[in-house]
Amino acid sequence: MRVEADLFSGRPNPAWTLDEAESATFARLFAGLVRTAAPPWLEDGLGYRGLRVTGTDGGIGECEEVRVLRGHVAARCTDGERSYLDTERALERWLVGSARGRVDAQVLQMLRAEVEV
Amino acid sequence: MVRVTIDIFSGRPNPSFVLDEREAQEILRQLSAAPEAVVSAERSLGILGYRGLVLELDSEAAARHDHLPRELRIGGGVAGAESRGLEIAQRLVERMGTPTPAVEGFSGPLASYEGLDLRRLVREGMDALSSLAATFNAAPTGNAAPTGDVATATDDVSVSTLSTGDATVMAGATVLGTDASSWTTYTVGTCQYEGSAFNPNFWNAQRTVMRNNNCYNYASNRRTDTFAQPGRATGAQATIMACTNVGNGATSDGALAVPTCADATQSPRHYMALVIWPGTDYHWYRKHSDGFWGHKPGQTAARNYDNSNNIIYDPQTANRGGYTDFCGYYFGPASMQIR
Repeated sequence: MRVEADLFSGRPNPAWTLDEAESATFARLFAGLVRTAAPPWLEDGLGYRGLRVTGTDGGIGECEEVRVLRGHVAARCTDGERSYLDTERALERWLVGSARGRVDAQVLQMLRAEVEV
Repeated sequence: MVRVTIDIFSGRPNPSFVLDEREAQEILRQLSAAPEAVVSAERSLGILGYRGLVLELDSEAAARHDHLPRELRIGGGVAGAESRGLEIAQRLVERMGTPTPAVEGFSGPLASYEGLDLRRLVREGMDALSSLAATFNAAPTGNAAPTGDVATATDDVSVSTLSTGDATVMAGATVLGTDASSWTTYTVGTCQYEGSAFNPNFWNAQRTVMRNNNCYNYASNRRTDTFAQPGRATGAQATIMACTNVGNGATSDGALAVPTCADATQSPRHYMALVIWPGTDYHWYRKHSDGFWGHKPGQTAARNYDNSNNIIYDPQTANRGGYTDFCGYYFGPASMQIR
């Protein structure tokens, strides 16, 4: 699976690839989220706009893209848009943790600052 | 089954060959151990000449290696761990048998690669591409670009090249469209520029357009689907995110820094503003005939409001998040080229 930090405007966003074990962990964490009827959030100004996870082949279960931001998760799936709650931003923090060693120190610091409550 | 295509030609079909089961497993094992050497196949430097090896995995191979892209590129000068990718690519080409055209059913004289020393062409191409990639990714220090994978758009492979002295640099990408067909001329200071009506639908209606065009595409009103970078078309891409560096990249592409005016033969002359997230990123805005400014933050939708949801009448005072440095205004004349 591939994770992209939606962060920049001009430059390409930083992105990294999860290994097999990490992908399995992500899938497990995602499967454990509580689904909600609330519409997906639409926050997308300049600066940090969340993390976007895509499957490198065949998607993530029934979903082709999962976006995680500040306790909310929006997934684009075969049955349409789904919303989930990311309690205590556990999934977002885990994804930021997976960036360690894969993005430069400055970007990692920014991402860490974003998920600190 | 894994098919390997040498991405090297422009007019004739690329040569390709199929790995036997043992070779395929060995290569996929090596790539699995070096994921930073792999990018998706569509990511290419878009240059003329050797652009890397493209590996296509059949469903069985893809199922066994589901963390790898189904169509991937190695040794193309764009991956994070490029030297490892080049090493694997080189070994594959050295061991290849007789290649066949990657286009199914293609026949005629160009279908045979007899008489062509493909191994030598690839070796030379790899050397040239290594130097080129080094130029594009020039030694980021301090406030420069992040290492590792980056989320780039598909490069336009139909790009032409032009020569400047001894250095071969890339030319502008093909412009696939603009968001206006009529403009109104305005005056600012002693200069004139053209403004058009805000038309976000042009950028937002199709996912592929939204994802592959950024603020620089928007401000210069040129859809190229290359996620354009200031200076890239003219070999002067900024690696340090500061007003001077990014501004110089844009002027190298043909933008004019205010108060330098563009004459009427250069219409439409777009009025643009540059801001910087110090050491991190840049952002551009474009003035519309509606009186406000439009912009497109990265891969997200084009809009005319700022981070506080206020319509942008003045980019200097708009809420710009971390983009705190206001650099100034530029004109984007008709002759400007971006890539």
